Amino acid sequence: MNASRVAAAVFVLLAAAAAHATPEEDRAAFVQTFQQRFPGIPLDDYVLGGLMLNRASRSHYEDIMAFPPFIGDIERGKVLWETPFSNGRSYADCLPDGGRTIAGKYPIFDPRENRVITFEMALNRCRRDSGESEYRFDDRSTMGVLTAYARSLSDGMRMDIRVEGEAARAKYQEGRRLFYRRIGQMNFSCANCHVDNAGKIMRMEIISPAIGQPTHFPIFRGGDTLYTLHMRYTRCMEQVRAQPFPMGSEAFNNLEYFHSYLSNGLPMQASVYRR
Amino acid sequence: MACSQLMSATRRGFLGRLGGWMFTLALAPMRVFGAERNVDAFESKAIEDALRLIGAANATASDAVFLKAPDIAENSAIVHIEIESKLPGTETIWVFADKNPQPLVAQFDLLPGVDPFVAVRIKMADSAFIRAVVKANGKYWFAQKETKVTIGGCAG
Amino acid sequence: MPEAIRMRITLDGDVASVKVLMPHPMESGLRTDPKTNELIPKHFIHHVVASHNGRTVLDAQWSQAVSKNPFLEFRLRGTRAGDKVGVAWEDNKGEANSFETVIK
Repeated sequence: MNASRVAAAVFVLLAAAAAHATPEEDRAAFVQTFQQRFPGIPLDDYVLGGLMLNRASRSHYEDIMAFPPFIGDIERGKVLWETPFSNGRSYADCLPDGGRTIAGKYPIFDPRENRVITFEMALNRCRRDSGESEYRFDDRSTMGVLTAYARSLSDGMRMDIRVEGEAARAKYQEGRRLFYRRIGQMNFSCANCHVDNAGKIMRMEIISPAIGQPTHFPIFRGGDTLYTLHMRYTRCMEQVRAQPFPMGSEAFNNLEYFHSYLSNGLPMQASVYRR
Repeated sequence: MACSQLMSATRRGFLGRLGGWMFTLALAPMRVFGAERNVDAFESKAIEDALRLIGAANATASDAVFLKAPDIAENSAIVHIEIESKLPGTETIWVFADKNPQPLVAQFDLLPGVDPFVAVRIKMADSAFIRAVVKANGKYWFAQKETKVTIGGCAG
Repeated sequence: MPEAIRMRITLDGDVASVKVLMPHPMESGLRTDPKTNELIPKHFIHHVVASHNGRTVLDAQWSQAVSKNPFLEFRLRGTRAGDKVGVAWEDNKGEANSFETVIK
């Protein structure tokens, strides 16, 4: 056997072994990789993405966040949240703890449906159960602004994703596979940018590390344009010239499950400014 | 005829919506302390003309004028800046973005009771000097900061 | 009906730091509507006035280069709880809005 075949075999073995690592082992490996690369950056700062590495940009971000221009959108979301359904029930009646301090627990694996449920899907379930039509995942003026407010009810809580049991682990592994899969004409995986090249500058921006990303959605790009996490996943796929998965698809849901687990322990904050 | 009717309708609308304290002011909406909007300065396309039209052609750089602006504006549509003047008798603060098609962005007339400090968010057409010009005791002073505009390609 | 002006005031001694958010499109007249391919007409706040207990303290003229959903911060002296602070704006179409609050 020549050297490259040996290397290939070793790689496959390692990949296989890695594929059977527990979620907690995965998360710890990610944390260790990044903390070695970015010494001195507190783990909680990772929710700032590239801003954690650029003091000037971070300062500008804080100036905007002192009184964000998208406050109107959050308030529109509050109206949607507080308006009862036609049967008199509300999101607060439907969700655990009145919808407070729960967003960090989503996505949740539902064993009865054998699939992962995102926070947005939970909101739609509430609507459906009260005879209302579900919101589209790509609609900023409904699902977008609703989550801009609803997710903020969990501000400050730490991401707390559970992966328990074989069926849940299968979904987690599916998400992990998607995270490492090279896609699109540019043949990039999420990991290529957000692990291998996190911290480097590409197209004049600092690439954010994978840890800390799902904690802070929706974002308002330029303080103006709302992006939910699945909208952002869509943009990423478009940027590597791949056909995006539909928002709310099982592929994105499983990816979000894996991706969110990596951010366990990090503080949530909805509706933030991004450039 | 239609134009003046429209004008008075909108002025009535404006006056109607305002509370008591704004009413007197609204009688001459563009005139404060006898100062009208300096339309020529706002419409100037060249920074030198705009400065001349506000009377600041010979403005001097001053350490007593503080301008906070980012080194890099990652989104040129929203650049947060702050200006503070420590010069006694500061009565007006102007904001310029030199490379904007119309460089004069804002004019702030200050009356007793307000500190010579403003913060505002502006749009920049291109990497440029942001300039804060101050009128204090009849003289003109300025501070400037170069802010580079980048158009990052990856995030959304 | 323009969207409500928001105000946040912090009092430190007798100095009130007033932060204001004025929802407004602030169209510069240079943007093209992607659906119609036509220029969106200028529509921006050109005059802002701030008051303290009914007395004008700040008078601002703005161009279309002030950012969308404009932010303004200023500081008042000689303020105390119970004082009134107000802001009013008018735009180039003659639309207007105002808001007054009491410092807590």
